[in-house]
Amino acid sequence: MRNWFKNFAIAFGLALALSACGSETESAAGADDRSGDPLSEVIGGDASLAIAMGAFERTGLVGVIAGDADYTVFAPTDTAFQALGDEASTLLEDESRRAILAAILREHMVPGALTPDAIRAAIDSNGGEVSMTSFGAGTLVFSIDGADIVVTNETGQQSRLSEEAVIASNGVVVPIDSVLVDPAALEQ
Amino acid sequence: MRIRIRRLVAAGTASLAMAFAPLAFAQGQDNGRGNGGGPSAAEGNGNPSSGNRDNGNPGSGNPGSGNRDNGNANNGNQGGSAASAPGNGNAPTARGGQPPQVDRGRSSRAVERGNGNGVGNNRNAGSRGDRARDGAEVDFALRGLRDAFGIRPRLIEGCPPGLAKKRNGCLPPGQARQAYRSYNPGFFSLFGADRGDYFYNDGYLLRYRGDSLLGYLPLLGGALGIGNVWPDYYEPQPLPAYYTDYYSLGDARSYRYADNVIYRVDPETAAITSVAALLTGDQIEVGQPMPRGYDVYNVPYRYRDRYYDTPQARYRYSDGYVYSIDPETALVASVIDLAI
Repeated sequence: MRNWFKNFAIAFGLALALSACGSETESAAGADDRSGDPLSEVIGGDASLAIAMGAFERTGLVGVIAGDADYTVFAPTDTAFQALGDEASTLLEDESRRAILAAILREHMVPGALTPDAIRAAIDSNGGEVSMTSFGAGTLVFSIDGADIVVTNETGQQSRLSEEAVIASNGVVVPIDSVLVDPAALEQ
Repeated sequence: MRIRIRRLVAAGTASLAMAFAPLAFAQGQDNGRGNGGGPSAAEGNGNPSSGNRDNGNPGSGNPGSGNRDNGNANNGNQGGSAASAPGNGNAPTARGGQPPQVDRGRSSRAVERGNGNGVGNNRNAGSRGDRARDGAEVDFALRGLRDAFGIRPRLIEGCPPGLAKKRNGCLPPGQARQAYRSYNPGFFSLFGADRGDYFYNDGYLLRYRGDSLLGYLPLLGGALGIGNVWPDYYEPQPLPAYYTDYYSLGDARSYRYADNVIYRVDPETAAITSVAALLTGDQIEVGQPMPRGYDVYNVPYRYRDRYYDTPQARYRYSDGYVYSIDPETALVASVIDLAI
């Protein structure tokens, strides 16, 4: 009896310890599962996506990723935004140009929930590239380059998808390593 | 959660007369997104143990609620300049600058509503039935948007009021070309706008032609940004009930719509408080090919136990609906309501 109680206590303690590690779990889709949290919290809680989150807040689009409907956000990392350069960063922080920032964010959003695994499966099934409509200037085309999935927008900008996608309650966040925007659109 | 399947009898599907107007934008971007090339990739995820599901394929629904004639509505703003056109011309528009012209007057549709693949009845099911009988809201909500708001971005005549107060708000064309950067309206997801020279200034796209300023388009995040009062020139109109349910919009005073974006506003002041939803505006019709851009399985996770790809049907999500697609023909077989 004493051993049973001891084993139970150990198991209970382990369970508590694991639950304290956070709600994130690995899902069958190969993405981290935070399906209890909306996109806004998942993006807002990722230190590498702080610039993207700030952009969602400044443009009001945070209301979209905090809402009930499902979206997939291909979120450029802070490093990706910084790679645009100082002039572009200044422009994107300019209040009078927030509509341009909003347009850029829309380019990185597609309807519904899709993970890198789903994109890879579609590419495999299709025998080549696949496309998804975006809320921006057109479709995004996905293809394989080596081990990576690459996304290309209508104006030819490319970015690589991180495999560290996160499933939220209202969609999926997939970090990407560059911003899908024509540099000409960011000229002063 | 309510789920309802609609399959439109093939012989009665709405006839779409697609007229395409060529557009050439300043940046020369080709945003072509016409129909064709249906989805070809299917992800076999989902829950095979779900058992005896019908998957929303033809035959799953109760025989329909009768033929309905959508009437002789005329959007009235197709073709020609949209400048200062009465009504609202800021509705979902097919991408690629090719606004389809929809002839709804000759369409007679039998709407067949299924029972949600075995999903039980739930709240408001009865009221949904009432709506079906009156025919006002049983129709596809996207079509309701087109009816209410038209299909093109609406150019507002003149100089924007806010800019007009500024010394250099609306410069003459020659100076504007030097002072402002030109943009393709498609960059801002404004598809179907009239051709011309568009320049960005302080949250607006200004359209010039020759030596005159023709008008402007207010932009999400700019003129239609948080804290700004909803402009008078976009008269508030209620959205189809399906969207108010799906996007939890509340009563008609608390939201506004323009150019595939739904905004929340303060009911008292009409100040924009947030962006509630983005829509693709893709015009997806039963019996027609799925538009380009739905190759990847994207059904929201909470519906995946019901709608997963099989050899008999593929499922794709867009703007609050799940669409069943026949893998052999790549035609849309049914539209599935998802009401939360």
